[in-house]
Amino acid sequence: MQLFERRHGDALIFKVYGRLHQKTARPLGEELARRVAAGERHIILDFSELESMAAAGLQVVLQAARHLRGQGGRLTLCGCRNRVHHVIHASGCHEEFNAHQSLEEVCAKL
Amino acid sequence: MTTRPVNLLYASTDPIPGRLQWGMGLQHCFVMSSTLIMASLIAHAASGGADLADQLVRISMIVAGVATILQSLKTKEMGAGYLCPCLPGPSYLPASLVAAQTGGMSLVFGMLLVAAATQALLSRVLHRLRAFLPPEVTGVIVAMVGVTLVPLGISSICGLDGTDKQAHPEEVITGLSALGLMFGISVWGGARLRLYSVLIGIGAGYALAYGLKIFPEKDLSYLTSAGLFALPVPHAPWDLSFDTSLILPFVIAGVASSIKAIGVISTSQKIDDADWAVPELNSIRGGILANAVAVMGSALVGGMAPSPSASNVGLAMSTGVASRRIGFAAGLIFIALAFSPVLAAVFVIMPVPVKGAILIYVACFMIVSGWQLIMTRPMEPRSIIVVGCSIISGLSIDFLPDLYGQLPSSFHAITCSPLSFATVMAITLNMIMQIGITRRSATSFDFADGSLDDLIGFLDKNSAAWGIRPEVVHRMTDSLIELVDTVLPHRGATRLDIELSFDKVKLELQIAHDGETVAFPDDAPHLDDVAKGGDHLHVLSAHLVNAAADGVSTKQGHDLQTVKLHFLH
Repeated sequence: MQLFERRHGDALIFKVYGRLHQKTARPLGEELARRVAAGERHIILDFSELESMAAAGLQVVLQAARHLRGQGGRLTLCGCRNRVHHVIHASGCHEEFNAHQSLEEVCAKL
Repeated sequence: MTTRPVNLLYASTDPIPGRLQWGMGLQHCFVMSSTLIMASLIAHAASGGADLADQLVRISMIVAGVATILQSLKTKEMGAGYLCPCLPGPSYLPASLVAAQTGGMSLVFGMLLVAAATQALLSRVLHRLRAFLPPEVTGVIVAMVGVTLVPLGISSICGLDGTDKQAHPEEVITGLSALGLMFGISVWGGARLRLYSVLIGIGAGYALAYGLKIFPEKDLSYLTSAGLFALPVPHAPWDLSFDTSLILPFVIAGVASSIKAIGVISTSQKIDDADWAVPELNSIRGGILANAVAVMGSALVGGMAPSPSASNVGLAMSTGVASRRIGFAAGLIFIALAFSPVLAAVFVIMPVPVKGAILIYVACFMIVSGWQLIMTRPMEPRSIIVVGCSIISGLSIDFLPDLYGQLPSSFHAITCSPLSFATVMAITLNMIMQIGITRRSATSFDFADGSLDDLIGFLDKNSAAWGIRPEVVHRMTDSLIELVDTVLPHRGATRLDIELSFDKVKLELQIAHDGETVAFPDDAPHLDDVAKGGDHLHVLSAHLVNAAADGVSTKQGHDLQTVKLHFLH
């Protein structure tokens, strides 16, 4: 799993490559916690290049979103396609995350 | 999840403006009327006259209208849930003609109950027949439906029918003009006009036919003498007789009609989904059962047996308008027309060249659609032989009619039409080609030092070698990751023996492990519980395996437990 970051206004965008499962989700969770502790309040996860996401990866994302919400911020998912989209729907997370948007649509609303 | 094709204006579940719904319904009715001519053939075989033909036509319109409405239903058991207008089914014509000649209409209607029972039974066992009806076979059927329209279409465009063997220039002009207008509007007509390309072509054909005086005098008299309203009167309803010697031909008719329905409904599914690869069996089962009920109804009230129309599905494909709500409109219009002899007569007296134009127009789309179905999966020698030999067999019926006439009469039910012969050959050859088709590969995994990437590489290597569709590979890989990553370690597994098997219809991933048994819940745990961590993560992981696979089974052994994942290909 690889992370590439950039900024759009006040939002921090992480583009995630590879697969998110037990082993690879832990570094993502740690990085998100570190950034929230450093003061980030709007984080966007761009999953357009993510090949797959397992339950462990979904749990990390969910925990990060709840933690960020508790700090008065928000975590946005975008670019979810194919199997990642299916996992989000099958787990019931589609109501928690409005994940069908593209990165361009999310940035346009900022 | 489906992917909407870019040229699809209204999908099967889309609402549709009222004017468009009824306009498209009327257009479909013209295509549905193309086989009403069979009524006069059956009436003639039963030694009946114009009165019998008229009764058959109008009752058949009611039956076809009801059948169309039933196909549009989206219930658990009945109906395909797609726009599948029905018309008097050509599949029943050969057997019906024999029954009419030997025992009159009561024998026709009695034996149609046998065909209905055959279809009802097939609908119940369809899921067991999946291996016999892969896309190559259904694609051949759909393509051959289009091909079988060609001889009748070309001869009709030239104005040739059973009695008139001479092509007249004015008939050819009428047919080609109507066809040219349909094609021209489809290509250059713009979004709105394109929707009614067939209806406009038909209207122009009628006008040309009238102007060039090619309407037979008897047809014009039939039209002008028809009243505005009259109740359709069935011919001796509930008058049924049976003949055991005709059971086989009507069983074959029921099977042929069911297989054609599979092809037609599969095409309807494909219209809705650009990524379509595998027939969705529940809607096909519902469609065949709905047709069985309609055929039974036709037998009881005295009409010709209906079947889903490939021509109408071709029309839906060409216009990009496939909302099933049009089926309700088309069905109601067709039923209403049966109560108005003059309006019904407008359909019945359709000029032969105009019928030919409709047939050729829809044949284009059916033939191409059939090829698209055939090419859904990568072609290899087995599938090439199935497709090639069955199409050659079907075409040979028309190329060498005298050859097949020399066969014993018991073969005639199969060789009576290119479609029947091609269908039987495709199914038989596909069954033969299943022999030795299953491929297997195995590996093992130790949690102490094994690499998940190596396991994924094992799946990728075999999937590429065996030509497995990417969508299935992704689901299988995700399932394996969940099991190896979360589920099985949680159940104490330390090592796995993995076997992959594939027979072109289904892919099976069998995992034997030394941990405790695993449950695969149908429902996901609550997200609040998942966010807290603990056991709820493993429940979610097991649920995602269940959601990704088409079937999960577990088996308890002495030392090893087995999890088997099934994926339909």
